[in-house]
Amino acid sequence: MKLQNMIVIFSIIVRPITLILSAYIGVQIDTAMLVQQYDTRLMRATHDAVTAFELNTLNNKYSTNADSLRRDIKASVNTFSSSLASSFGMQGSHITTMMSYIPALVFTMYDGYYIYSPHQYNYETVGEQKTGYEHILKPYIHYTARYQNSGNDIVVNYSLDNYITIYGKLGGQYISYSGYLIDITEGKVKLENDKVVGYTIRRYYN
Amino acid sequence: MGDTLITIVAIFLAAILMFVFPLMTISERNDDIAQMAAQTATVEFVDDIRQTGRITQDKYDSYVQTLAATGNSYDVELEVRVLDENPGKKTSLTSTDKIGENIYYSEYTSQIIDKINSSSTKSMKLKEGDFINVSVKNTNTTIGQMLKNFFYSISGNDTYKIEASHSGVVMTNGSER
Repeated sequence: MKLQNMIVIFSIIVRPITLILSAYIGVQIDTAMLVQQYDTRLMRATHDAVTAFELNTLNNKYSTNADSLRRDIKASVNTFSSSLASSFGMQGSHITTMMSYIPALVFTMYDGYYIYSPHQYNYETVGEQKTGYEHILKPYIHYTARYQNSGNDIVVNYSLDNYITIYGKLGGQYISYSGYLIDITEGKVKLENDKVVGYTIRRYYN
Repeated sequence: MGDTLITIVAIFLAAILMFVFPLMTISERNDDIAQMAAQTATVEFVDDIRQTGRITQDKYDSYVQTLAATGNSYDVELEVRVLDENPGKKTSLTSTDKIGENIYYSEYTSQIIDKINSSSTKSMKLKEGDFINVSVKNTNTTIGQMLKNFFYSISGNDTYKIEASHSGVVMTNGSER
């Protein structure tokens, strides 16, 4: 067979294979780029929501009041939704349009968290029971744990640093303590007459 | 006759393989580079506005020049969503500056450019809580688009190849300098 014939046959076989492979790889690249774009838009919307929250609480002397805090968080959620809508070129979209794609927003505070997530409700229309979903800001949830065994029933409130509050019944007596949790494992604290006189703080990075 | 035909087909295939496909690949890479440059310039422009709270003639001209340096012509769209100073809710606890509670009204490219040109400081001040949104699309046909359209064209699509956009909340009140 002549060389030209073989070259033509080779080109006819190899070229479609390379076209299909490059199209497949092109789709993979486009997918990775789209994922990265979406991640960037989500991070930008989160950044704007946190900025709005910070600016709102800074300008509000009642910001630690529970009602005011809930209001600031709802305003922050609106900002998140507006920023996300702007990123996707859907400026002016109602908050429900964007939030239907967001499962939940969690605002972690010093001693608890708020969740903004869908809530199922039942309603009746024309004699028919229906179910609907609506995003609402759920009540504040503290970082709390309850420990029970025979004779003891205590509740511990944790916070983002080592400050804890303990209250409940310990050995039949009602107790209420609060303070910073110190690990008294040997080598970490210096004890004299059962009192802590020095301690080593170690930070563990994962 | 058969030999001549196959030789012509071989030459044609060789020409396409050696010249056209590499040219298509290189021009598509050029478009990708132009896309990255446009996105980077847009992000820098918007982040500068968000941090300073001002849109100045100098910054805008510099941004447009950076885009033009990629060798393509672009259509720049600016949108500022201004936080309305009138309270959105009629209650006793309304606040005029709470971000995310009050309504926004939009100003677009031509209004923004007019404001900048008519201002004595050649700038437009924004305030904390306003939204700035900039998007840019190319208006010319790139070499990559021309070569692709030669082989196939997708109807109703491919009007632009290079697109960049960025938006965000303004974090500070702009001041007169």
